[in-house]
Amino acid sequence: MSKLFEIALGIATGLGGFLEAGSLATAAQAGASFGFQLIWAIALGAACIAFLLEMAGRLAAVSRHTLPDAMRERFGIRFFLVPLVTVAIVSFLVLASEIGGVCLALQLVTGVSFRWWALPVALVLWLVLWKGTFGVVEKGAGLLGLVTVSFVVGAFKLHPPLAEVAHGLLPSLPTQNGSQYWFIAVSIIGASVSPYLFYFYSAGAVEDEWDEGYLGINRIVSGLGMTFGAAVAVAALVCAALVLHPLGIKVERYEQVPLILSSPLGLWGFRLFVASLAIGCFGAALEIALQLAYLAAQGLGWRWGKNLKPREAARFSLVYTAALPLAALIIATGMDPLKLTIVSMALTAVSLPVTIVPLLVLMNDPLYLGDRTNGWVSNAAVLIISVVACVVALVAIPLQFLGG
Amino acid sequence: MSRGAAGRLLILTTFVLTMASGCASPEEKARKAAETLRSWQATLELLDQEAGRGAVPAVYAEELRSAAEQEIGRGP
Repeated sequence: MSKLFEIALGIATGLGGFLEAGSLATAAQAGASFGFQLIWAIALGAACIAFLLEMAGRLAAVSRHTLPDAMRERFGIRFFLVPLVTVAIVSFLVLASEIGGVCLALQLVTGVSFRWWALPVALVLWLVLWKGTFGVVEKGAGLLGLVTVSFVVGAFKLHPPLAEVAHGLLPSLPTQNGSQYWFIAVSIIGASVSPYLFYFYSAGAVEDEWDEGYLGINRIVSGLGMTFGAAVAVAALVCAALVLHPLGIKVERYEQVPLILSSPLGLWGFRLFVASLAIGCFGAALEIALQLAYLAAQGLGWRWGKNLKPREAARFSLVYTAALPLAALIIATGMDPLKLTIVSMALTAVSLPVTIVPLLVLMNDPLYLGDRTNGWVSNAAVLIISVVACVVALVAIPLQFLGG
Repeated sequence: MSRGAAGRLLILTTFVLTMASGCASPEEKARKAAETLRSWQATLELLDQEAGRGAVPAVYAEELRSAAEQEIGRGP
């Protein structure tokens, strides 16, 4: 495969895979409640995840270690259990949210309640993971996710005031509903910087047998893929800001969100919204279920690999086989997928230092990276963003819930 | 400042801010309830407009109306 094609494929899958239940819900809520004011949070989250993906890819290419594998080796199993359990809990909640997103898409077109779709959706996800190769999971879902570009088309058809949109890139203080503003801001960052993304990326780099020759591709794919992906999330926010915000509509149920695309694009907008939600969430659910299996297998030293037959990596396959129905049960109980998604994203933000600081220690260790250790810019950017997001989330979550 | 002291300060700040916000006052609850009602009324108006020009399917329109009824009926 030529390097140019790999770069194009990597960027396309990054773009197509960016929008899922969390990023779509938080972008829609932000646009509806605060207009363009929270675009900076998407930009900040995208910058942070681009740095993290680049690091995870570099670690895999240089040391041939996945993240959990290197963490366990470097810090010992007792310390490693802390990020292992944290990432597993957060990822499990996000998995339930993504399954909820697919179910909601099905509800929007059939009228049958989302809770009835939970177990069938989990079964289809399991079948794809059981039968499919890593390439199918990684590239297939990402490429289908290119349908989310419809948000960019929708945003342009609404003729956004570009100066105001650009102004939203600068962080600003809220004029009203401060706790909600900060809660949505940290939820956006949590949605962008979900640990499953960089854990999955590092496993993918090892599955694809990256070496140091891939470092350039890694840098371009992580940087441009996330930039274009963030542009799609910004477009969703712009659509919500132009359709819902002027009418004073707050997003309290997922059922309100398709209006942001049906307004500019008509019936096709509605269809594209449903396809974007279903495909985006389906792809993310595949990746998260697989990442849970990678995390357990790589961290605990089991045999793993998506390109192995399930019987050749039985415990690895067992993890996603168990995780999918358990996550689907949360949705089948009737828990509101929007609330679950937003809370999962905020909790992800709280957990960021636990998952990111060990990665930063690894990325500065010459034993793993040789002369490819981190520079101060990436260290400072990732550390500051993750710690600030965690502190703001610790304050904003109780304020949001107790403040009504 | 030691790590322990920083941790305690963070917990204390969170606690104080949480308590300061307390549970919303009756006025605040009434304001939020009115805001929610206006939001759902506007949602239904937009839905009627979209359904009128055939931009959304009937099944979806019915679902959104039902969601609006539930949310309005739920109150603050």
